[in-house]
Amino acid sequence: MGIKRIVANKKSLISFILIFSVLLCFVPESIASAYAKFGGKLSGGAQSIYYYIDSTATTQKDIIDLGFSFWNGHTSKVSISSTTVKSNSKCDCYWGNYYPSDSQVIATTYMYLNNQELTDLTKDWQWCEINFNSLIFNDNIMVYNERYGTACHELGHVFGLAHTNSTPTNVMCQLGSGRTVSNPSTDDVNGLKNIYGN
Amino acid sequence: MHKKLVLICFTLLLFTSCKNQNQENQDFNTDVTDQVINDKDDIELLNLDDETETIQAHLDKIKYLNTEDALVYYENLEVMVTGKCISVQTVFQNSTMYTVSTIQVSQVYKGDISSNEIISIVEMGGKTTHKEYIDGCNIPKKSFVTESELIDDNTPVVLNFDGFYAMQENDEILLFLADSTGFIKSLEGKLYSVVGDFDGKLYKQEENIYSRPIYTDYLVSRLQYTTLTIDVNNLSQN
Repeated sequence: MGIKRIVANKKSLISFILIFSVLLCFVPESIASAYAKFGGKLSGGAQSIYYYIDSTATTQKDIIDLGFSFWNGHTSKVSISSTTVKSNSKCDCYWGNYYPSDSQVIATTYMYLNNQELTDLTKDWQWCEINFNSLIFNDNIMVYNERYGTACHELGHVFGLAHTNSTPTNVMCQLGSGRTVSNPSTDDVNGLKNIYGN
Repeated sequence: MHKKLVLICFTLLLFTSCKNQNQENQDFNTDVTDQVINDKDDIELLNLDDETETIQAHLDKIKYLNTEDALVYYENLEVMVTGKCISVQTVFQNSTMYTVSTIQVSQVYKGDISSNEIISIVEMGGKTTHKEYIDGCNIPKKSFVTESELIDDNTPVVLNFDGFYAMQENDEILLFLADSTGFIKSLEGKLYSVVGDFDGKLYKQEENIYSRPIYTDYLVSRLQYTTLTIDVNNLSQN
């Protein structure tokens, strides 16, 4: 191979690398992962925060503890444990007869700012309340892993993750949309890290 | 040679962009206009003024009613009626806000109800004042919350669930209902709830055509021809 041809090939290779690198800058944030965010998140971060289980939800404590525990250990920026002091909790959990069973509602999550509910999920919130509907969230209607998977799912909302209903292997896929898992997937964890950092 | 390189790079970029269309790595507030796939106009059902605070809660359901399910549901429904909302009342129970609406039935498709009968329906969410909402929902104080600008007690607030709103007066609706008598403890008499919550409530779009509103994060509740739509002419009447 002549020297001129070698040089020409190298120039072509360098041109390819440069052009492709520039084009890559316009490729959206992540190709490999699939997660969705509300836009807002827990104000002040999610490191060493607490959740509170109301007396109404005592019978569901083991399930909630298990479901919530799956979000620990993925990033140093996110860790949650239980507290018995409600005023210190960033996630209050209740279990009650909140919605008629025909509504099909399993649980609701409310985000709070300044002791008032948020109007916009794209803004940060200070704490949350999860209401588990006892008329659906019980062992007659939902099996064990569906219930702790739901607890895990709801805490994902508290952290700022939205639904990914086209990916049933994500815990952020709704049960009504065919969720097949009960703890966070790699995609779910990537979403968490994207919001709070590694 | 350079042209070939540019073409290869462009092709690769096109490929990765197309692949990314199927990913859900996005922020939640998707522009709802992206969901419009035909040329029908939206019909705004609820247009709140700038003074009203909207509160959005997020819910999860064990089942969602899609078009195919609706046909199955029709066979198994307790009650299916069309009617007009003539009054609404905000009720608090279990630190949760509900709306109890009275409906004047216009047509009965299923159930032991008569045309022109007045029935009561309970839904989640609704409209109240800021003070009534804070008091009625018993929102606790948190040690880490720093109070900033407060909302005036009389500010109207509307609670919706995932962008779906409770009924208002004069709404004309088609309802899939189930008996929920006794659910609201302070209410005597027969009470119904909407099957699938917002899934079982369709708004009149034009004569004999009812559609389910789409999700929206705007201050409106919108209808489109792309969502569950039922022509009541296709339903047999009681």
